[in-house]
Amino acid sequence: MSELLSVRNLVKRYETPRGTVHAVDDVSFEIPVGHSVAVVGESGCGKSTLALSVLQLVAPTSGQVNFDGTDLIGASRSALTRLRREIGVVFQDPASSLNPRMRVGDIVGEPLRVHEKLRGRSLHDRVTKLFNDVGLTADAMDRYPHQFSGGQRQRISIARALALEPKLIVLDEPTSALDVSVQAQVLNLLQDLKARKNLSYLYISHSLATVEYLADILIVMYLGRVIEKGPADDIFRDPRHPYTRLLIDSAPSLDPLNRRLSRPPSGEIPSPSNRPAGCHFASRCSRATDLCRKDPQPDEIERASNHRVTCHHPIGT
Amino acid sequence: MSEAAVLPKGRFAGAFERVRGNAAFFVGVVVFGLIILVAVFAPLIATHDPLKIDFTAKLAAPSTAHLFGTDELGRDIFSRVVYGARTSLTIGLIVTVLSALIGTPFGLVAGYFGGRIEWAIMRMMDVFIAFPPLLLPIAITAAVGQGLYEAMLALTVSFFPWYARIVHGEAKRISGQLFVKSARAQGFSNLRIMFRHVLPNAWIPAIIQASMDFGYTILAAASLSFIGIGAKEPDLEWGLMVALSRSKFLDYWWVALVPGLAIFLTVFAVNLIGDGVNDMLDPKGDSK
Repeated sequence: MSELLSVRNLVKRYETPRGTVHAVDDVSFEIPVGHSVAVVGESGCGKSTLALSVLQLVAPTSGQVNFDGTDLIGASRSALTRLRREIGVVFQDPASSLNPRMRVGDIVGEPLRVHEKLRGRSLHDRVTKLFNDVGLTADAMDRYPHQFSGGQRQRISIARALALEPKLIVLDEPTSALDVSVQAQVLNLLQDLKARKNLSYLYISHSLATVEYLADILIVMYLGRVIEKGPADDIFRDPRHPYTRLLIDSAPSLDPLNRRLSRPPSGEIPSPSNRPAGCHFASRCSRATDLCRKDPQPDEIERASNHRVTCHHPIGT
Repeated sequence: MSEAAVLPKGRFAGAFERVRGNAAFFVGVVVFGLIILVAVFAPLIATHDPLKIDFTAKLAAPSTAHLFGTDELGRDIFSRVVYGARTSLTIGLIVTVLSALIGTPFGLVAGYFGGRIEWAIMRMMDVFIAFPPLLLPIAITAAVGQGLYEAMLALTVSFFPWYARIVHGEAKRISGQLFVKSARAQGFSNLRIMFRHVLPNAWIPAIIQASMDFGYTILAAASLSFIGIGAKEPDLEWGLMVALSRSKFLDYWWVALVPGLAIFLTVFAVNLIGDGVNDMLDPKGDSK
């Protein structure tokens, strides 16, 4: 399996008057070609900062982001512009991710105008094709974003992300602003596009329910650190970290026959600017011992193949 | 596709409904329209050559020969006021447009880039804004000399920082939105993002400001002329006409009253329009 994106020891710290915030703390993972990697965690766990670091929209404090053989960090401006054509992005809020003063046809066509210098007929044809790809008709092109529903706007965002035929699309909570019924349609579309165009996804979400459907590889983050990662099926079937267990138990399922008993996470998330000394999760963990409260988290422990967990007392031992 | 599209709505849709019934706005439009017509067709409307000196008719009272009387050099006041509309409207237009054109890029760059660039630009604007109104134009005309163009330059220099400040706030807000982030992620140039994505969403408050400033500019130009550092003889400018009549108007009321009324009427009409434009384009009433 060749890797499209590899992130090595990525760190992003913010200095604030109240202390240093460890938004992303030593995160490493790979995205193989044609696979989707989902990053899951509660708000504030650093998953969006991770996505923005990969996109080079925030500058990481240290670490490497290697895309298709080129290191993005420290890449020259022109190299970065070239690489950005290979990475599409879809943001969470379709209401503010589309310029309200531009026609949606111009929004989707803009990357083609700028990077491929397409004009007139050939531009129109490409944009029409992109609209069809995401299940919209070409007559929608002349309208403005506010004339569309949330789900349609997210389709337009996806069409824009697809415009330059990227290899990777970063999806930052693409469905969390949508109604549940519309979420399923958008997820279906993403799944379908991935298969048809051999796309890779970096999928950021706080909701395990949508992840279950789309992800090949799952990464669970807590306060900036990866606490469990591995094949998504493995983790859903057999979560090792107590926090992952908690997330899975509290996620509503799309399948009514598969509703799990809902147990809301208990306790407060510690402040990312003042994290506890031992395992960051110890204060909320039912399995925590004195070891957890004093010792930092152990290094990643490999469980089954490629299934890694960072815990002193993983479930199933 | 199961999601229903809403009805089409353009940017200004609903704007005209909002001002329908706004009588003040229409009064402003009608009066200002008439003033523009007077300025454009001044040669046809004026009854006399506005510069022609006639000592035989000096300080003549309003009559059929001289509709609004004559000044101390016997020049026909009606004709002078008619031609004066050209000067005042030109000053208002040039100063307002120039201020907006100069101020907007400063605010746009500051709001988009943020950080040190923003700090440097906005502190520079603060220096200009810190002067009391009219003091800065007085200081500038003192430096560059007296005259209509000098007055326009002075007013532009003192007005443009306000546009920078207004556009800065809007541009900063817009630059934080996801579509700007998304444009950066797509590898567009900063210039493109600023002018294609940020500015079209940030210029409405500047337009509102301009519509309000237009009247103030005319008033400020007249004030500069009145205190003797703006227009000078033989410019046809209302403020200057009032100034020249200073020593006479207690005995000959028409020499100051008529140009004074012209200033009042123009500024009043423009302000009514400005209020109307404000109501029409107010972001809170905008359909988004």
